[in-house]
This record gives sequence, C-alpha cells and structure tokens, in this order.
Amino acid sequence: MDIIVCVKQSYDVQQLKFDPKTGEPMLAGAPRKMSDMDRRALEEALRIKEKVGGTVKTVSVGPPETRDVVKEIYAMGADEAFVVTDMKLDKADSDLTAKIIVEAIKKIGNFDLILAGAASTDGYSWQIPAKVAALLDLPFFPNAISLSVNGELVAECDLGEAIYKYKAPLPSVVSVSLEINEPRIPTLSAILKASRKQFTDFYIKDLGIDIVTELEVRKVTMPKVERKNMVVEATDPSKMEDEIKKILDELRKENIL
Amino acid sequence: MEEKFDAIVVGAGAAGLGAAYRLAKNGLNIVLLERGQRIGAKNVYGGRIYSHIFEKEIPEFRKEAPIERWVKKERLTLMNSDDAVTLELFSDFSPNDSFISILSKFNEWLGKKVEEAGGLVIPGIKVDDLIMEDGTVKGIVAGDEKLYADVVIDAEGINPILARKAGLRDDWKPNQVAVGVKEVIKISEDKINDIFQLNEGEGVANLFLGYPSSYGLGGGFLYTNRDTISLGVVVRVDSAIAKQIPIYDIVEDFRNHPFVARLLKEGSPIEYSAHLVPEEGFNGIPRNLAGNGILLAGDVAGFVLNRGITIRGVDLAFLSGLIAAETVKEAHEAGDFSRTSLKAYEEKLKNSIVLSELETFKRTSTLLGNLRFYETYPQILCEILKEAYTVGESSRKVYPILREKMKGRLSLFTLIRDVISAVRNL
Repeated sequence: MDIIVCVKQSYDVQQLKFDPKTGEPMLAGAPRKMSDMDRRALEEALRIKEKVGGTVKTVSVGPPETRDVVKEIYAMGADEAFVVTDMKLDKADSDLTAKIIVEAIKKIGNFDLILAGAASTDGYSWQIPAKVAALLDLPFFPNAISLSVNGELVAECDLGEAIYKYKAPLPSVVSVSLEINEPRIPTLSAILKASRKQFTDFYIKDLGIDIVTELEVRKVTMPKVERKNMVVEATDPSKMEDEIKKILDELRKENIL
Repeated sequence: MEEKFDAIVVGAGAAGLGAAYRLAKNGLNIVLLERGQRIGAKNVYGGRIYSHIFEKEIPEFRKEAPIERWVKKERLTLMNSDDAVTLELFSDFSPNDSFISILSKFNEWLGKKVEEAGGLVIPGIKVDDLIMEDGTVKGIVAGDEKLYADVVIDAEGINPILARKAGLRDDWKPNQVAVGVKEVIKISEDKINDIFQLNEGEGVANLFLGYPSSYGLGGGFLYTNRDTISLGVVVRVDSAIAKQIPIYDIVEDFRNHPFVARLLKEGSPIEYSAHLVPEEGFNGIPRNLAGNGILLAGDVAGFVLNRGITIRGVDLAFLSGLIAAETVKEAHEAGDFSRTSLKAYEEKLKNSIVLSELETFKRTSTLLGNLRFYETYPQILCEILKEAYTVGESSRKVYPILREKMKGRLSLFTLIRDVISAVRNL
C-alpha cells in the first residue's frame, strides 16, 4: 500500500513562553517539533507498510524551519520526504495549507491512502485533513483511534458521541487521534542511516499557487488565569470549624463543590 | 561491522561544538551526540561571552551569531539587605570585546554551523558508557547501541560520567563546584535601554557581592539581553551547605531587593533554570586530559576562569574543543590514537590561553575562597558610605565611622592583608 502522510513541524507548545504583559506567545526562535498527532499518523503508516508492504512518503508545508523535521521523518523510517517551504507560509491559514498539500500530493504521484494527524500541536484547527479530502474529492474518516488493513481498510473513528467503525474504500483520507498508537523512538543507527538522505523541495511557484490567506489572525493570547490568592488565617484552634466553613463556602461559590 | 567514525564528540556544549566544527571543517567523518532534545536544550548560562576566539574561528560570526547585546557597561555592586554600592565602568570597549548571549540559543546556532561544515549533529542521544578494549577507548554505548570511532572527544559537561569511566577524573567535591540559578525576566527592548541608559545593541554586565549569595561564597549577576534580563545567583556548594543557604529561595530575595526591584519593576519572570559551574580554576583540572583514544574538553576538564570581577568559560571551552580537534587531526594523519600521541593536546593547551590564563589566576581561587569578601566587606562598605553620606544635624569624618564599623568584625591588620592579597591576585 502506498501511503502519503502529512507531517507538520509545529511549535513545541510546551516550551512556548508568553509575554507576561501582552499575553502574546514569544514565537521568534521558539523551538519546534514534529506535531504529535502527525507523528502518530506517520507511525501508523510505517506499521501498515511493515505489515503489507508498499511505500511511505511524507509531505510537509510551512516556513523554512519545516525542513528540520525531515531528519526525524527519515529516522522513523519513511521512504521519501517532500517539503514545501516559504517564509510567508508561517502565516498560512488552513485553506491555503490544504491547497498546497493537495498540489504537492498531485506531484508526488499515486497513492492508496493519505494519513494526517487530526489536528496540529500548535494551530489545533482540526481543518486540514478534511479540506485535503474535499479538494481531492476523496472519502474522509476523521479522528481514527485504530486502523487495520486486512484485505480492506477498517477505521475506528471517535466522533465524540460514539465510536464508528468504517469499512473505508481506497484511496481515502484518514485523520488519526493521539491514542491510535505509541510512536517509535528512532534508534541511533536509524538516525545515522537517515542523516544523509536527501529530500525533495517543491517551490510554491512550481505548484502554481499564490500565497493568499483569506483569514486574518487579529491576536493570539494566553488564556488569563487569575488566582484569587485567598488566605484563611486559622491560628485559633477553637475557631477551626468556622475557618473550614469559610473555605467550603468559597469553594461552593466557585462551583467547585 | 557498523560504520566507524574518525571521531565521536560527546556533548554539544561550547567545547563539543568547537571540536565538531573544526573536525568537520578538516573533512573528518565525525558525529556529535547531544543528550538534550535539541542543541542547547540543556544549557543554562545567560551572560557574557568573550568574542575573540569565535570571531577568529567563524568568519560569519558577527553577521549571524545570536548576540543579544555588546557589553558597554561593567558594574560591580556590593550589597547588604537594604543598600547597594555600585562601581561602574562605562567604556566603548573597542573593538567589541564581549557580548551578552543566551547560551542555549548560541549553541543552537553553533550546531547549525557544525552541520554546514559537514558534521553530523544528533540530539536526543544519551551516551551511557565508553567501549573499552585493552585500556583503550574504542567508541561509545548509548542505550543498547554501540558506535565505534578512532577517538572520543569527551565534552560531556559538568557531570563526569564518561571521564570517570575512562579513569581521567574523579567526581567533583562540594568546594570545587558552585550551583547557579537563573531567571529570565521579560521587559521590553526600549524599557531596558531606558532603565540602564543604553543605546540600541549595548548591554550591561553586573556582578553582585554580599546579600545575593546570602553572604556565602558566590554572588549575583544581572545581564541585559535584547528584551529580557538574565538574573541569578551562584553559590559554591560547600558554602551553601555550611551556611544552609536555600538556593532556590535566594534568587527571589535577590529579585526583590530594593535595588534590583527598581531595575526590574516593569518585568516578570518567564523562565527559571539551574546548573552546576566548575569553580576551582587551575587546581581543579585533572592531571591527564588525554587517555588512550579519548580527550577531555570544556567543563568536564574544569576550564572555567573565575577572576572575581569576571567569569570566563564559554570561549575557553570552545577553544579547548578546537585544540582537541587539531590534536585529533594530527593523530588521524599519524594513525596513532594512544595517549602517547594524544597527550600533545596537553602541551597545546598549555601554550594556549586555556591553560595559561588559568595558571596566571591560579591563586585567585584562594583569594576568592576568602569569606570576608562576601560577608564582611559588602556589609561594612554599605554601612560606612550610608553614614558618610548622611548629614543629619552634624556629619562625621569617614575614618572614625570605618573604625566603629570594623569593631569586633574586622581588624585593621586583616583588612590591610586582604587588600594587598586582592590587589595582587585579581
């Protein structure tokens, strides 16, 4: 089975710092990593390949830093990586990103299955896989928690109110959730083998796409978490009951109890 | 047989990066292994780095390196719990002598330089052991994998796991290392320029004695980054133990000191980290820096120079890496990786500023072990000046104030002896 996986190089959100004054993330030079769900999509693709044969290719779209993700893609075991990078893609919205992914996929060639993380670690829009499926006019199976390929593709998808089990035709697009698998940690020898492997750069102009984003991001801020910092002085043991009641009343007021 | 490298460099700090950079430039087949998830992930230092060595080695240094600011003002502040006395040098330090950088970012950049030079840089790999055959290092062990090379450059940093296995050094003792704790405080670039009276791109390096280290052996530091401030405290471990200094609390006390609080009033901490620093200078360097198939560079070899008024380690570490690489290149050409061949490294270090500077300041560490410089003098100085500048109804001459403040705390003889020793050894 020939699989194409969409892999994003996200900001490492856990290491992201926020300006305490403005609440805005400090993105300049912030560390990045392979998006968590995309990593699982790649892992799932590799497992399918190990089972039934075929190829695993990846496509990554983003700012130039995106190239850094290729090493890891190869170290995990993908056959071939394709990237589309441009400075302006840092601000790309999901429409544009999906369009670029689709044009890149058309250049990569034949495939039986497209896998992607259901949402990226940083943007978390949950839009890309569905938009890719729509643009390619393929069936879409969102948020898979398990995939099997015994003769046919079966996807178990967590759709919130229930888990649906689909028999999926090929080719189709499947987005995977975090719980689908535990991705491998590349071994040192795999990393060494992967380290000099070349990848293919697609340029925006070759894909025939104008970088136009319809969506304007006005502001990104950290959610405000205000602490009440309430201190209940309980020095007099005889009044302990009252003090405890005070705490309980406060907790009730906050709907915690 | 697996691929065998010309050299494996362990640890992507300044020393390992220097070694890997020079080796790769010389066309050797090398791999640099780093334990952190990315290059720079484990680095804490945020402060002054001297530029000469980097400038000489990397042509594009000035254009590309992540320099926060060039040091324009040098400050030494003596503090008690309420007051502070500051000596400031304002100079153009032409041509720019030292810059302020965040080592984590700086090393990440150096890592890119190694890759550009053709070196293989692999983060996320913890090296657990050395492969030893007949007393010779043949490679490294990481998890259940082995990697072979003609020589290993051990730049593992302050925690000498491999160097101990190679029998090259013992673990550090509490009087040989200091613990440093650092906060990064977010302000804005303009505000920093206003508060510290700097033009764009100019910075302040401020060391503090007395109160910041709870009067133990050590001190505080403040460096202006572009739009943040690195603020922290360093205390020698034996002193922290003896005085029972809660190292994690004293940074907060330092930050809230009235003098510092006024500098930081606009800012709030966004990052917190801690690290050990080698402190013993020349006497803390292991006798052998080369073994069969192995060389030590950087912190693991103790190449940090504390001159009291400045601390210097990053550029010395980088230079020791370059020299290790040069030695390996010669050994590679001669095809001999035994200690007999590799000990040329020790000779080369002696002829470089790495060991000559450390030797020049050999006795400084004895001086810096004198608790009075941290405990008595900052407090007395603050008290004397405070009184000398207080007029009230009638003012007093400075000398009687000095004698009064010294009473029971310091004899005139000790004072004179300390002054002479300081003048001689700093």
